[in-house]
Amino acid sequence: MDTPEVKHSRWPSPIWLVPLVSLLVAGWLLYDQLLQRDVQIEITFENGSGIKPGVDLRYRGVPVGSVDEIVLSDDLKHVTVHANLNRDAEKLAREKSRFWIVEPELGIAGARNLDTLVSGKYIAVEPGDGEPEKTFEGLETPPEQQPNLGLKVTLVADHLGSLKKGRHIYYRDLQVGTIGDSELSQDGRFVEIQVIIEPKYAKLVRSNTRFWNSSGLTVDIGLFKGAEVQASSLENLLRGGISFATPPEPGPLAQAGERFDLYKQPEEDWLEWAPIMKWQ
Amino acid sequence: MKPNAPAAQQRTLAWSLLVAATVWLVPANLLPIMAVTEAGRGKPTTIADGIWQLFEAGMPGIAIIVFVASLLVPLFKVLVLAVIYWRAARENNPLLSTRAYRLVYWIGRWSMLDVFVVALLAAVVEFGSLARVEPGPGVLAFALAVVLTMLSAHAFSPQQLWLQDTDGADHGYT
Repeated sequence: MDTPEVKHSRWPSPIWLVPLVSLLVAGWLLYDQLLQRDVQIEITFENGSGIKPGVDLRYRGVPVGSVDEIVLSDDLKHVTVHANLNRDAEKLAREKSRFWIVEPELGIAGARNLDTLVSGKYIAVEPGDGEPEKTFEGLETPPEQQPNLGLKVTLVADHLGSLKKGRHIYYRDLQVGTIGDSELSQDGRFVEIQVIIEPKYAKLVRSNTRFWNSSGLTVDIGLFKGAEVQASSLENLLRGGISFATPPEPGPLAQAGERFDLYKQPEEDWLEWAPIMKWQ
Repeated sequence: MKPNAPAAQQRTLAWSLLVAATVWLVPANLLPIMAVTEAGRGKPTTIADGIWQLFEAGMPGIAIIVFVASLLVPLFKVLVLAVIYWRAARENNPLLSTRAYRLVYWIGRWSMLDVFVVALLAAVVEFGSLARVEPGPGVLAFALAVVLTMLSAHAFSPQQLWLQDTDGADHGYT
């Protein structure tokens, strides 16, 4: 009886292609999904301002991620926002990257971020320049209202008036700084107002500089001269602000943290002071 | 001469399918099987995440069922089949092996529980941006693992457990 000839192939059975292909495809799938997943970051805020999961992270007005969940810190003093950044926006998460919550601002002098009224709040991001980083401290106010560099001085006033945080400081009606936090002095007799002068204008502030509240308008009605109305810029009139001038013989540069009195209004000659100061 | 050559081929087929199934079990357990989006808030969940969430939500009973059906059983099936195939080429305890084989074959029909749940949820929960369930890549891997395990079990016929196996040389048995 003939027996069939048995051939031994040196190659393994082609059926082994099934596990091989499986291995390749599964490996690629794992690599794609796990190693290139969205970047998870954590941002700590003092106040969540009504941020909800699903809220966008935006850079230059374009969504680059979203908020996953929000948890309170153990000591109840902060909220930690867990967010994921899209893969292509990974480079935004670096040391010194700044995150802040964008809310609508409505005021007499203008409205900002009105789109957030309809679309809801969002978290804006400004990339830093350091190493990649995963945890961040969020800013409480937008960075333009919070120059982290710059000359910080304290003004002492009787009343706060309309000098709220974020209002501006003017030198010759040019904006050179912003008003920061205010608080009551230790003995309760004054209000202390933090003022931040932009670094490039810091040299304009000298130890003998005079600050005055330039919000509001001065109306002077006389019998013969009629009515005289004095106000600085219209925006200043509506929003409130502080102006300063330095005498013709400028003193030494002001130190950080130096205290100045805040006058209710300028004396007449202050407005004419025009010392030559190289500010750059 | 190889009187049992078809049996050996059968085993090769069964083995290769089983290896492929094992490979797919890895992404099935590591990748999210579905993403539940609720009022814009969504998170992809893996099988283990899902079990943990059920447990935390105070449903330990269901959590255990899902744990057994989705995690334990697929692994158990692959392991048992591997042992059966391995023993088939060597000394035999045909009765035990056949019983184990029948058990695995019987479990097969219940293994698609996860896939079924995800498919059902994805089809039923569809309220636009309010709530949505999207299947994840893990469920595909899971389905492939289950199907390949079943095919592997199917490719193997338990009859050969009862035959005098003489092709042991092929498997390093002398």
